[in-house]
Amino acid sequence: MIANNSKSKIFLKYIIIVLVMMLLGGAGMFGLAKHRQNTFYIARRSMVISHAIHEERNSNNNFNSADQQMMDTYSKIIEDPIISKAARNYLPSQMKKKYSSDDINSMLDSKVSQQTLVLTVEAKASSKSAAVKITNAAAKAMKTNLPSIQPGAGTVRLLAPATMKDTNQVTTPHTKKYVAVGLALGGMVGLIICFVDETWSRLI
Amino acid sequence: MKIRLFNNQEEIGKRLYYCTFVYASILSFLLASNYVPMIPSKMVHRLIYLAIVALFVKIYALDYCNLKEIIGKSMVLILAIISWRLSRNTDILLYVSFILGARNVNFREIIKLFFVTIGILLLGTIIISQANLVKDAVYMRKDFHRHSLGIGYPTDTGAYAFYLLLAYYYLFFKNLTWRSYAIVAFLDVVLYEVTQARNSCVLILLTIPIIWVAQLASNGNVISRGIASFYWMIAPLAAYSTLLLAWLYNPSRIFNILDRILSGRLGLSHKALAKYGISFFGQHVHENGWGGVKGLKNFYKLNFSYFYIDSSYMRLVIIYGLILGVLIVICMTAIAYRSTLNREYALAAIIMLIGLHCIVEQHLLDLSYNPFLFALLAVVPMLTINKKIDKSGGNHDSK
Repeated sequence: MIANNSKSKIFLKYIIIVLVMMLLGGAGMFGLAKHRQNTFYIARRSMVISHAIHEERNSNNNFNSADQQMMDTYSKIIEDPIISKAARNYLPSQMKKKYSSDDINSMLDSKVSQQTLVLTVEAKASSKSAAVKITNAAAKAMKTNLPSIQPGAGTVRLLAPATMKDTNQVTTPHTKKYVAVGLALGGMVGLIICFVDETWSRLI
Repeated sequence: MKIRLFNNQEEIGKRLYYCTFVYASILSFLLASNYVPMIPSKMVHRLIYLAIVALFVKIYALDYCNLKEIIGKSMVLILAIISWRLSRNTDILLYVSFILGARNVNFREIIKLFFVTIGILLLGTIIISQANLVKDAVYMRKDFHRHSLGIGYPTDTGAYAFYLLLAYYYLFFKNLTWRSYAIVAFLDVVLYEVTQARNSCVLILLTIPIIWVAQLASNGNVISRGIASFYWMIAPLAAYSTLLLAWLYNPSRIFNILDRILSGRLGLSHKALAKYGISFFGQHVHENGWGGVKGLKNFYKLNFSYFYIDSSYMRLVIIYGLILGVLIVICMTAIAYRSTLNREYALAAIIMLIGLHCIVEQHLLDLSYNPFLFALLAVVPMLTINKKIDKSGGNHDSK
């Protein structure tokens, strides 16, 4: 009975160690998540880059599929500093002071919708209005600059402008995931402590 | 008790277990090899049920168990039956029945039977495959031809070699010399040249220092004892960290390097976890592998997307169910812990090596590969004669 009692006591001790380490890990990662947490706003604007479809009838070239193949190139162009530099010129002077063209370049991102001629530009910023203005400026810059960068490219037709209403709010990192990771890592550390303690005190 | 020890019923139970073990090992081996299109696999599966019935007879009719044990065993068996139905995979029920039915059985005898049966089958299959009677499947890796030597896949051939080697270490633990290790290293190089089974070959090389330290420890060397005493914790930590890494996997640089080391298994495990999630009691997962004659056709198909959960631990939590998975890992830990407590270290080292092997490969619950978990309830005779151990008695029977 005495042996049984001490066994269950040891077992209880180990469970407590694991739980404490889990809690410590969880709390630590919670703190880290809060410390790192940032809220961003993302604004989007789409554009169609194509040749008019009727031109296709008179030529052997299939402009439409050629346009489709060019979408990735356009997507790379819009992420290039040349567009962010031009976009900066369209911004109000207050914002020009605040954001360099490099800043704008790092905020911009673009996406091509599969099997379409639609290119979407997005800007991620810490305020709604900045995200909206930079998105619209970048779209405008693309429209004016593309013909000189890629001669023969299709016409850029901008779709609905980005508005404050349509911005998405994104908060990263996710606290829940961080806490779960903290709990799991803490549990691992707790297990290692228990295993080493058990080996040290009884097995060697 | 003494009368019971020599009781006829117990002897019958033991013999039934040995026969069933050989019978089921042969069937499992046939399923894992390229004999399959010649032998209908459905029929072999049906024959395997016979083994399960025999084990149930041993557990419920021939073993003397108290009520507590019967209830415990029945609960685990019910879990295994649920998992078998949900995952549509007989391996789990067969394997769990073998673990629970091993009462009073001599573990050393099981390993002997395993070593002889699988050894003969493997050697025979290799020879037959070279005579082209069974398909020696060849897989290309860059310009290298990987031969499967009649087994389902080259890595499986490597895994058979690995587990047979572990059985060899267990049986000849007392008599291993530098010559044995040299031969192992030489055979490892040959194996790599034929199959390029990287995981098994690396681990076979790793067995040499690990078993050597365990051997020194069991002979009383203090430093080796200090090292070998930590062996038992590797299996549960490997299981936990495999699961954790698969869950945390993202395409960042560190994970990419790790993924490459584990030959893409981490990414696949993550994909499987995201698609199917952890199940408590087991679930069916549709897999497309490259193993077997059917898989070989897939290998040379364009646009074939490989999806197979390779890690044993991931298979446990995704396919067979978390509860049984935890029980199996506890079973591994208990065997290794007991071996450490008895200061003989052979099983602790073997379970540690299996624990490492299972991070990448799927053979933890394959009867024809791994009979080492049957040590949980079987009678494990002491391997080494040690003064300290002699005091506490020669045999250790766990109950």
